[in-house]
Amino acid sequence: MSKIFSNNKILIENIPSAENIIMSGIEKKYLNIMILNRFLWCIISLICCLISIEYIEFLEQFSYIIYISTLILWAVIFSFTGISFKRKKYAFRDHDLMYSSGVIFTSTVLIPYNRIQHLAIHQGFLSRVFDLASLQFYTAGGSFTDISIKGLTKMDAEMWKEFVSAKIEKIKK
Amino acid sequence: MSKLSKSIIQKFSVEQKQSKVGMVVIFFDKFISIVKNYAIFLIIPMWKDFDLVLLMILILLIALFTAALTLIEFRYFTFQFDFNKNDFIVKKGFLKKTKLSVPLSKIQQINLNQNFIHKFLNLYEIQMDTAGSDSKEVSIKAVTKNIADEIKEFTHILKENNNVQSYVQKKTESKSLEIDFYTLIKTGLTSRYFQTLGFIIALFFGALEYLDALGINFIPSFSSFIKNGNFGFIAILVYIILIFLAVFASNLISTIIKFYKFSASKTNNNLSVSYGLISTKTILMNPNKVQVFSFTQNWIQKKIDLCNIIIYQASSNMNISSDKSKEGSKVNIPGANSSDKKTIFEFIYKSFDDNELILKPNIRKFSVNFFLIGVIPSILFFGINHFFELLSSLNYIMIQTIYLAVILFVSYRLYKNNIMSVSKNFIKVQSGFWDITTKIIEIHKIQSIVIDQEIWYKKLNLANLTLCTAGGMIRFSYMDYFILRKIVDNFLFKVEVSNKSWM
Repeated sequence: MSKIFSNNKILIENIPSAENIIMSGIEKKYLNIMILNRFLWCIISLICCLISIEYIEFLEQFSYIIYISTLILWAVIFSFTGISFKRKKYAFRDHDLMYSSGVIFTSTVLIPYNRIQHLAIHQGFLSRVFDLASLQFYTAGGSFTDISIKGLTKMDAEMWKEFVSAKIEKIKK
Repeated sequence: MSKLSKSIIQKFSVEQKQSKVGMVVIFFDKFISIVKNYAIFLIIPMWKDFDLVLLMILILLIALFTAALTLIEFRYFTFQFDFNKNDFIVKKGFLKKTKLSVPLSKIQQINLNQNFIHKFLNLYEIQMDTAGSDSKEVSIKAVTKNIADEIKEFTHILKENNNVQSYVQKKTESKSLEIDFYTLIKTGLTSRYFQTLGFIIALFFGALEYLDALGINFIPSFSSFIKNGNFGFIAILVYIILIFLAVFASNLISTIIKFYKFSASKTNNNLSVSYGLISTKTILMNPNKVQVFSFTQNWIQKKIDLCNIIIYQASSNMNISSDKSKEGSKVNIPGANSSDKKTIFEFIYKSFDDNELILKPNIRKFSVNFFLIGVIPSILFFGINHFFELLSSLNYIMIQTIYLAVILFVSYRLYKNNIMSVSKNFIKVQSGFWDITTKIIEIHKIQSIVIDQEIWYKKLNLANLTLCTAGGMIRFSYMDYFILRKIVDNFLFKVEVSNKSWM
C-alpha cells in the first residue's frame, strides 16, 4: 500500500471519480420487451424439448428429467429478468459515457467521447411497438466492448445521439 | 525534394497490365486456395460411403476449372495512376466491372510480398493498405520487380511533395537488425513448448479418428499397445524423450521456415520487416499505428538473453475477426536480445519512463486457479478411479501427489508472475507461468475500459480490469476495487485530455 501513497504524482487527485456518478436506469417499458423476449425463448425451448422427446427414442426414459429441468430453467430466467432490468444503467458525463449491466457477472464499460468511431440507433420490431430504441456506440477497440444502450425512448435516443455527436464534433475541432 | 521523371508519368498515366508470367502465379494462387477450402469435404467419407479418391479428383477438377476462369479476370485487370487527382485507379472484372480509385493520402502502407511462385518467377505482389473501416484493400497480384519499385518510388515522391505524412518506405535505410541462423535455431529450440505439444497431441488424435473413420482400424492395435506395452520406468522415459524430440524438431523447422533471413530496418518513419524461406513477407510498420508491444520470454530464454517480440498494429478491419486480417497487422520478431528489444521499443515509443506504480493481484488468483485446475480434476479422478479401479492405490497416490504438486507450482507461478505496472505514459501487464508475456500499451491508445466483477467478489472488494486498444486488449484480474477505480479515473482523464492521436 505504501507504494500507492508515494505515487501521488501519477495518480492525480481531484480527478472526477466515476464511482460517485448516479447512473440512470432504462425505460420501464423495456421490461415488457425483456419479458416478451424471454417468453418467446421459453416457447422455442419447449418446442425443442417436445420434438426431441418425440423423435429421439433414447430420450424418452428421461422425459421427466428434461421437463423438470426446463421448468427450473424458466423459473431462473424469469426471476432474473427483474434484477437484470434494474442493473442496466447508463450515464453520460462531460468527457465519457458509461454503461453497466449484468446480474452474476456485472460489468461496467467506459468509453471516452474522443474514442467513439460512430454511433447508431437501432429499432427492432418489438421496440417499434413500444416506441423504444437502442443507441449503439462503436469504437476501434472491437465489438467486445461496444456499448449498446437498449431501452431508451426513441426521443431520448435521438437526443443523446445529438448530444454525443456534438461532443465528438467539438473534440475534432 | 525530388521530381518525377517524365517516363514514369507517361508509363503510369495509361492503363497497365500485370506481368504476363503472372498468370501462372494467379492460377496457382487460386488453385491452392480452392483446394484448401474444399479440403474440408474430405471428412465426408467419415460418415458416408463415399469414395475418397473420387472426391479428391472432383475437388481438383473444380479447382482447375475455377482457377482457369480467373485467367479471364486477369485479362481485364488494369491499374493506373491519375497524376492530376493523385488517385490510384484499379479496374477489374469481366462480367461485373469494378473501378476502384484510392486517394494517395488514404494509402497507409505499400507492402511487397512474394510467395514461392513469385520468388521463382521474380515477381512481386503489391498490397496497399488503406485506413478506415469502409476500406477496400487494393492488391495487384503479380508485377515485375521494376514496376513494383517504380510504384513505391513515385508514390513516395508525391507524398513528400504534397506534404502528406509519408508512410511509404524510403530508399535510404539507416539502421538494421538482422537475426542470424544460429539465433533462429536457439529461438526454435526454446520457445512454444506447450502450444506445439498441444498441437501434436491434437493432430495425433485427429489422424487416429480420421483413419478409423476411413475403415483403417488403428485403435485396437493402439489400445492393445497401451494395455500390453512396456510401461516400465525406462520405457516411459524413452516415450517422454521421443515426444520432446518431436516438439523440438517441429518447432525448429517451423521457426526456420517462417523466419529465415529475418531482417528489420529502420527508415525515417517506418520499421520495415522481411522474412521467410518459402514465401517472403515484407511488412512496413508505422510506429503511430502500434497499439500493443508484447514480448515473451521463458526461464531458459532469460538465461541466454533472448525474447520473442510481437507488435500489434491497429488494423482497419478489426471487427471482422478473420485470421488473415489479424495476421497482417501483427509483426513478429523472433529471437531478439535485450539491446535489440530496447532499440525497437525506443524506435516506436521514443521514451520510457520508470516511475512506476506496481500492482499485484489478490491471493485469490492463486487459490482459485489451484482449486479449478488442481482440486476439482483431482476429485473427479478420485471418483473415476474409485469406481472403475484403474490404478492400484500406490500408483494412484503417487500420480495424484505429483499432479497436485505440479499444479501447486503452476498456480503459484501464475500468481507470482502476474504484475501490472503503471507509469506516466505506459501500462505494462506481465503474466504466464513458463512463457512469461509482457504486454505494454500507451495510455492514450486506450479505446475503452471494462470493469467486471463476479457477484461473489463484491464483498471481498475485488474486480477485473480490461483495457481495449485497436490492436488487442490487456486484462488484469483480482484487483482491489478501490485502487482499480482510482487508476481507471486516472486513465480516463489522460485519454480525454490527450491530444495525441491513437493511430
